[in-house]
Amino acid sequence: MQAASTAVVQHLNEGAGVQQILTTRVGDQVFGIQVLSIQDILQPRNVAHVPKAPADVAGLINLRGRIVTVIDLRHWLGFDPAEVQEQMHIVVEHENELYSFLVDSVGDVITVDRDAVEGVPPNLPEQWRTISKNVLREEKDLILIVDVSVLIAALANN
Amino acid sequence: MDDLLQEFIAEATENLAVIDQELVRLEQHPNDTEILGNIFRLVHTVKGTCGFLGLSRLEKVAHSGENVLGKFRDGELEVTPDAVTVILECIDRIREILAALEESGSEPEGNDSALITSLDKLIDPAASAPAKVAEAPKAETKETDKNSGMTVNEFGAPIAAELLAELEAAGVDLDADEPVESEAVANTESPNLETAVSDAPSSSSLPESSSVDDAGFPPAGGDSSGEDKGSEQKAVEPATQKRESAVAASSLRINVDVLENLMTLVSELVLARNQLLQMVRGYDDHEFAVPLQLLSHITTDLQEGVMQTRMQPIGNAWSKLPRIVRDLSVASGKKIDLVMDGAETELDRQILDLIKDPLTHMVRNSADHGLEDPEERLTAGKPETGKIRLNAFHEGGHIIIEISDDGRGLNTDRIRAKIVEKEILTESAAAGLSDQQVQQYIFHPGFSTAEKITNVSGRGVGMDVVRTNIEQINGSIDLRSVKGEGTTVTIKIPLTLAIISALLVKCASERFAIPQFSVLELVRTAPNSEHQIEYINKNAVLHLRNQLLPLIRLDELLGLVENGEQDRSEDAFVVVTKTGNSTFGIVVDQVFDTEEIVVKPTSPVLRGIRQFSGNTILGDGSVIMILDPNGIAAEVGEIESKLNSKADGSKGTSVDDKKVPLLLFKGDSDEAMAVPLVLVARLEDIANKDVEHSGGYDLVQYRGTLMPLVTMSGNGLPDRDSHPVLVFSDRGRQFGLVVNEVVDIVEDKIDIEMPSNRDGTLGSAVINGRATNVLDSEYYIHKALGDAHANHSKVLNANFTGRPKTLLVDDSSFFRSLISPLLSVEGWDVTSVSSAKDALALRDAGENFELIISDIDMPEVDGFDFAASVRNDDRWGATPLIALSAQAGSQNIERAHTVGFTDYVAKNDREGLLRSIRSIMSSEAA
Repeated sequence: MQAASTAVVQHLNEGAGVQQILTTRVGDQVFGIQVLSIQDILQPRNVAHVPKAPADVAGLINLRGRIVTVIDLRHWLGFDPAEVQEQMHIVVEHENELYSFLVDSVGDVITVDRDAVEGVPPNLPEQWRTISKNVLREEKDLILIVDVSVLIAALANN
Repeated sequence: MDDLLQEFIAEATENLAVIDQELVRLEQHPNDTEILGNIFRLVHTVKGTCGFLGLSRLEKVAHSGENVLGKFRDGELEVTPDAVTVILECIDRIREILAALEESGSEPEGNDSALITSLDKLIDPAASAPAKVAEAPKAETKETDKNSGMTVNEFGAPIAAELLAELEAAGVDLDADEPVESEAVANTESPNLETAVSDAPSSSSLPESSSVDDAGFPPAGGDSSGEDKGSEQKAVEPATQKRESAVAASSLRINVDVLENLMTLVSELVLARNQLLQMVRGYDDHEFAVPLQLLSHITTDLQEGVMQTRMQPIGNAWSKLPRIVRDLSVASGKKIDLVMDGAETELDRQILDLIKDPLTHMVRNSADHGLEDPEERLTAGKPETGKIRLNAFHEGGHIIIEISDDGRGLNTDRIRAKIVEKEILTESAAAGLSDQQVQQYIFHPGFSTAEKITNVSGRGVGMDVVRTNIEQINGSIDLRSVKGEGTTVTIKIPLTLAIISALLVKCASERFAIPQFSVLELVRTAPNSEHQIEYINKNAVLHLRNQLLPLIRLDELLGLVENGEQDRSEDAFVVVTKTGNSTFGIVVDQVFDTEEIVVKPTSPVLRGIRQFSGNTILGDGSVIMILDPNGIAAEVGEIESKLNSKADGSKGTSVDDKKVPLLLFKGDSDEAMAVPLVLVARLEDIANKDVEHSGGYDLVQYRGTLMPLVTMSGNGLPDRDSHPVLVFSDRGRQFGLVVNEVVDIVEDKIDIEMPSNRDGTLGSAVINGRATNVLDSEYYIHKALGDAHANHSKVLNANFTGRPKTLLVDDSSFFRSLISPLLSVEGWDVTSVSSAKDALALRDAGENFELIISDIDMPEVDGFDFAASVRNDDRWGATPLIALSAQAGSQNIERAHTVGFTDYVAKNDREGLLRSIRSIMSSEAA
């Protein structure tokens, strides 16, 4: 069932040159994450703290028997620690490991026309430019499209 | 790679492993037609599939091998070790090609003509021999019909090989002299066989439509011709497959990932079940109670079942051994009987993979080193054939594997010699070991006693690698050997790696798991109880049964507390942990229970944290980290390496058995301190009002001079009416060390267990049953009287170009660290060694000294002998020698002078030593 719908989306994307992204808000910025890379979206829950872990790692959660590494996007992006304690989890799979990104809120799934995408401006902080190559202009917001695999790879190399 | 090809490789590899074993069995029972039939069928399957998949090189090799096997089965060729060796070579070649095929997806380039020729050569004589079939087929079949000793397997189908062998036997009997015309045999046999099948009593159990193909005859019959036609091949293939599937239908190949996933899901199910049970607990009459009970049972069964899928019989790890032993016995000319018991014992697949290599290595060792040559065995009154026995069985949650041989046993004399040769131990130390202890040294790195290096073993990777591998999976290895009777190695390994028993602890409100196998004991500490945490230089230690145990506070280690200083609760638990060679305590707040946990590797993002070995999900669903005792030990290791550097290159700290009078006192932060009484000139109580301040020093008028006062912390004097002061005297000048309290004078030995990195202390030792810091008085001499010494050094430096060199020889690390600073303050460049042997080594290295100071009482070579050897050689012959000894007595002094000591000084007489040095040096200069 799920496989079938994925296949349809894949087909749409390839055929029409569009992709779908989930919009999320971290701090005062809207980010877009490719829907196809997302495995789960979870309600706020207790995150087990890991001593000595890099500051970008918020801790670990248990997702149906698998351990998920929780990444604090606010920290990575250089925002102040969350004033919203109840952050949502966006779970992605990368090289057979599960990672979750903490975001302040989750918005809609929107379809993006590739033609409406521009490169990120060079004056953004380096941490931002590492994880996002493209920016999408919507009616009122600029949406940064995040490449989660690049972000995870950057964390693993640190 | 194409699925079909992949499946073929997996199947062929499996078949080859079976062939290996069967061939070795065949060699032992050359007339066993069942084995032959089995081998033949397997090789044929490989060959047939190759043809089908268009793997021409593989097919050619397999084909030639099959020809030879066919001749074996026909009885035309005798099963000799030489012939089997060639067949085995052929199997190896097939395996090589398969490996390359698996990697690249296509057959590798290569020339097999040499191998094929040698295979063909085996057949040649048989082929040239006249063998004719003319009317044979008819007679053959009738014969079979008559005997009809049809063997029927459990599925009611005749066993092809058996029957075929009978046919062949009959054929050969009847027409031994007639040429075997293969086509004729193949063609004529089939119809006759069909009759045979339908006539046989078992035929009723076969499906009505069953043709000869289904029964599995023609393939075998066709093969025997040794001249397969491509068309026959394809027809034959499904038949063979079908036959196999009938036997092998009970097993199924499944990707390991699928099983792992299943395992995870089952763990989750168990979790959910536990939560449900929690909810209805206490409501016995709850309507869910009964179905829940049922769910609970099913879940448990399911869990066990899934666990079972990970288990494999240990025989799988042994399957290669008969072949290895067989090759070895051919190569070495030894006769070896390999017995394998308990092959059905099951253990975790992961562990199975890990022990495969160590086991192989040990069996090789037994065969190569353990067992003697046949002549040697006969001379020793043993049976010619040596025996290697593998035995596996369960014992209390562990698998025990024994590898024993009835060979010559370990040669302890040679191991001893090797220990000395490799400089692992000194000769006297090696001689002092029991045989049992000596044997353990074969696990020492880089230890191989093989006199000659064979292609089997003795290449430097030896038992130490085996031990490391076994220990990595939390196993242990033990060895017993009786000379002339044999050696038994016992390996104990856990059933599974994935699930370990762990101790759950709590520290700063977080929970952690510590693997149970590294926990030695738990100690509860509290103020005023038998066990309490003490501090040496801010390092926590525990005094446990006369040993100082370094402690690691988990909260500090993991950065769970802001500042280690504040709010230290002494009411804690110490988890005494052992890993490798170090034992240490981990201080935690609370200890819960032990729990079986499933170890999961940490994500790559967290892999850099060496304190953790993994993480796990507990029964309540929470995620916790698993502490890695090895990673934590590395922290302790840093303390240990300091210890070794302080010990002046001697291996470990030497234990000084001599008891000395010690003054115990409390430093100005109330820590327990000790100083050898001999160093202290007087004890005084100095009134605060008498203390004067001048030039940044606290001074007091004392016996007509101004005496500086120093505190251990370097801070000003504490605010109180009077100060207890230890007065130290150095070359007529004095200084006072202000302390909090003078406690006692005791007699004890100083055995510094933990060196200090803090100025002013040499390290800590257990004195009078308490952890105590030993004062480094030289440090304070320098501090209080520093200027004077600096001047003194300048004078010395003016006289000599560079600092004069002196050699200090003393086996006691304590005295070395006591005297070295004294001498260096005096302006000497001190080299200290722990034995006369090391000193003479320096001489051989071309070192020169202006002065040598040597202890008299030393193990091995004592001071007298040392002096004699110094004097008997030109190199150091003229160097002044001072004897230091705890033993006075004119007899000793006289002897010292006789052997060539320039002077003799009592060990505790520091002033005397310095006086002696000065007078010698001035007379030398003059």
